[in-house]
Amino acid sequence: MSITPLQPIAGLLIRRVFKWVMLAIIAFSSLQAWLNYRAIEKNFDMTINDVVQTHLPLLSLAIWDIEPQAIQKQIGLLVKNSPIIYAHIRASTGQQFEGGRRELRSNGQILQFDIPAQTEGTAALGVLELVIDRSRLREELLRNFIVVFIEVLVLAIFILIALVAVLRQDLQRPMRQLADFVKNLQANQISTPLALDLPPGHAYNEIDLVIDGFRTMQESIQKHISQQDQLVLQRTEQLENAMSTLEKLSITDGLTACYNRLLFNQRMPTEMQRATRYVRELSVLFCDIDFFKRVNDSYGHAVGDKVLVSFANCIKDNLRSDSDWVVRYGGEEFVVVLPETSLIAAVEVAERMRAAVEQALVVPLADGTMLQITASFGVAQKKPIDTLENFMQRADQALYVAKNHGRNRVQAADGRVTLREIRDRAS
Amino acid sequence: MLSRNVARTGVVEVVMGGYRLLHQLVLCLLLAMPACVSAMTVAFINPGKSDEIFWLTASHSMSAAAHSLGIRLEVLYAQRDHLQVVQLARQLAARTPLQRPEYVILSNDYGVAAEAIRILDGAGIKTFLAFSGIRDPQERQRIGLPRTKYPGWLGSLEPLTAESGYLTARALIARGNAEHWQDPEGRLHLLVIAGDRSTTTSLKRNEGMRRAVVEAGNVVIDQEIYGEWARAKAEEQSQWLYQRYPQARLIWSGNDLMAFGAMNSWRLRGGKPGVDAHFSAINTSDEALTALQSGSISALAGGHFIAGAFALVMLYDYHNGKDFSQEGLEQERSMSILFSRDDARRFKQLFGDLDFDRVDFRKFSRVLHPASTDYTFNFRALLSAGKERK
Repeated sequence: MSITPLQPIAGLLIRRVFKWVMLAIIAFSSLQAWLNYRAIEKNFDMTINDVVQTHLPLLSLAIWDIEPQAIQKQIGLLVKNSPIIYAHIRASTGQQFEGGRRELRSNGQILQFDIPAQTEGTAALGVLELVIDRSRLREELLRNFIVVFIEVLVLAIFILIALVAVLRQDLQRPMRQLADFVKNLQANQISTPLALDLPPGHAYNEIDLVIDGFRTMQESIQKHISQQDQLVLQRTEQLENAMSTLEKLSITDGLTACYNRLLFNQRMPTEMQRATRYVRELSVLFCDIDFFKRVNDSYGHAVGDKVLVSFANCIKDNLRSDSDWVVRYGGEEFVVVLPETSLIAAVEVAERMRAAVEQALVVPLADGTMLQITASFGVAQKKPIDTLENFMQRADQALYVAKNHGRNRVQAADGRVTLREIRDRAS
Repeated sequence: MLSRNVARTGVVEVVMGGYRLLHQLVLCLLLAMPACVSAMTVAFINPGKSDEIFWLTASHSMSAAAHSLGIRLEVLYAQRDHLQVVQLARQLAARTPLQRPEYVILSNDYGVAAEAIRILDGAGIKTFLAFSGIRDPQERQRIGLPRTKYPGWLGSLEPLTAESGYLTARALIARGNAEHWQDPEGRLHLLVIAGDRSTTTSLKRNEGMRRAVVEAGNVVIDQEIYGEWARAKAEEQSQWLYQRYPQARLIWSGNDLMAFGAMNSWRLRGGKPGVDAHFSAINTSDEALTALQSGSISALAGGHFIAGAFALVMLYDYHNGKDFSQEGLEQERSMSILFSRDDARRFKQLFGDLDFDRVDFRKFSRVLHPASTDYTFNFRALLSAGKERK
């Protein structure tokens, strides 16, 4: 699994939101500040005008009454108004008064007002000159902008905090839990119920949809798996059956259900090795149905087949143990392998088989007559130096001898003709 | 009374009442008689500044009166701070009974007398208003009539203030007419430098001046301004006035200092007071009298400073059993005169260094002169009284 760095959606969302919020803040603050600026500018001019209109009658009175102190006081009050940085009065009689900061005169806007007379229609009593500091206006604007900016910023921060909290609690944590759950889910525990640690008073949302979907998926997977298991079991059984059938088919002869030559070639060397390694005796019987060709030719293949099957059954019936096995070696030739059996015991087994065949193998024919079947047996015991070929060859030669000596008989290899002879030699 | 004497001499430690009485008797034998009989104690809360010529004159004349009547007088200056008047009244009331004055004389400048009287009355100190009495209806409501709401407030004595304003204005207008300074319409133009907008004295003097203007019939007041009794302010203001009213040649002032200010600025413009413009003044300062003699001031009235001294005379009589209630509790009497050059010379001779000790104020007391039917409080009497002693 390649490790890709985790980039939480919450983080991404917050970054995006933050970016837009910041843009919005700047936009709104600027707009607000601009609107305020307009208002303030208007206000500013109105304020100055108001201040002047308030002071003019008083100034007029003070000048008329020749109250220099009162005039000076009025100037003091005028320059107390923050935008007015300098005030100068020239009375019509020539007296001058000033207040504020003279040195700032150059960097301000100069306004002039006539100081009206006390009685209508007479000449003005003097001229009031004010120097207005417009930079105050800019300061006011900046202050305003900062205030609006801070307001909107605080609001945005609260929104972001709320967003983060919601994302954390309702998205990130459940998602992580979900991911961890899924990561740690074992195939054999697929049915483990998914339970997330959701906050109390939590409302049903998309996460729950995901969880529900996941549960549904779990259930269907669970169902599917159990179905699959069943299916696999079934299939395996079928397969095993097929396999065993196939195996049977591949190592048995279809007609007689005896092993075939393929199996013999596979198994025989093993048997021989075992006999050699453990110094056990091993014998084989080479059997051949007498005059089988004639039966086949005279009565047809169906009868031939019947004869073959009956013969094989006969042979099988007379096996002593599981370790003995029969092979259809050729058309009507069978080989019986007898592990841990001496030549004499093998001859006895062969004899019993021959007798059984002679007694039991009667094939009813279509014309109602019974066909008597016999078989000849060649017996050989493995010698230490034997290869498979010459071992089988000796059994084959013994069979050949039995055939030549009149059939329906058992012939041991190495010239032993009959069972009796063999017994005699043993005794 | 007795214990006060003991305390003031500071000679004797009082142990028992009997001893005290004995000591008192011994002391009476040793000390001069008048002091023993009843040395009245009076405090004067002077509303003016201690270097202000009018109020200094008032204090000095009162001291002389106190001296001749055997009264112990203490003068406290409020330095033209009306809050200070109340403050001083509080301090007097807070004194130990032995150190308190029996009487306090105050002037109702700035309308603070009612409050001061309330404080002093609470402390059992008797009060008397001199120079400036109760005029304002609101004040009247607060304080009531003498010896009613505040039993210790005995009464008041005011100079007929309007008189000096009237006399000077009338003299000034007469000079203007004599000089033929009428404009083409036959009107004389007058500039008025008044004292202030609120004090009784100021209002009264203006009232007198207006009465003269109305009587004359051909006089126009170009403008009336307020110089706050001050020389410097009047000097500055008059400059404006001369620029505003180039035709004005008659300048009436509410006191002498403002007249000097206006004269000074006239001189600075190249004018000559008493020649190309006429100035009037009120008060009896040395400078004013000199200016009258030299001719730079054309009309001078004064003498009302004597109200304080006469108030002491009335209190002296009251203290010694001759109440002034029959003549009226709140009296207004003519005190000032229009000074001739001769009067000025005589005044300076008599009271040149503000020394009024040549005046024997006892002659005005009705206790000491049971035959007299009424007080003769006017300045002429003072000038003549001084003359007798020369």
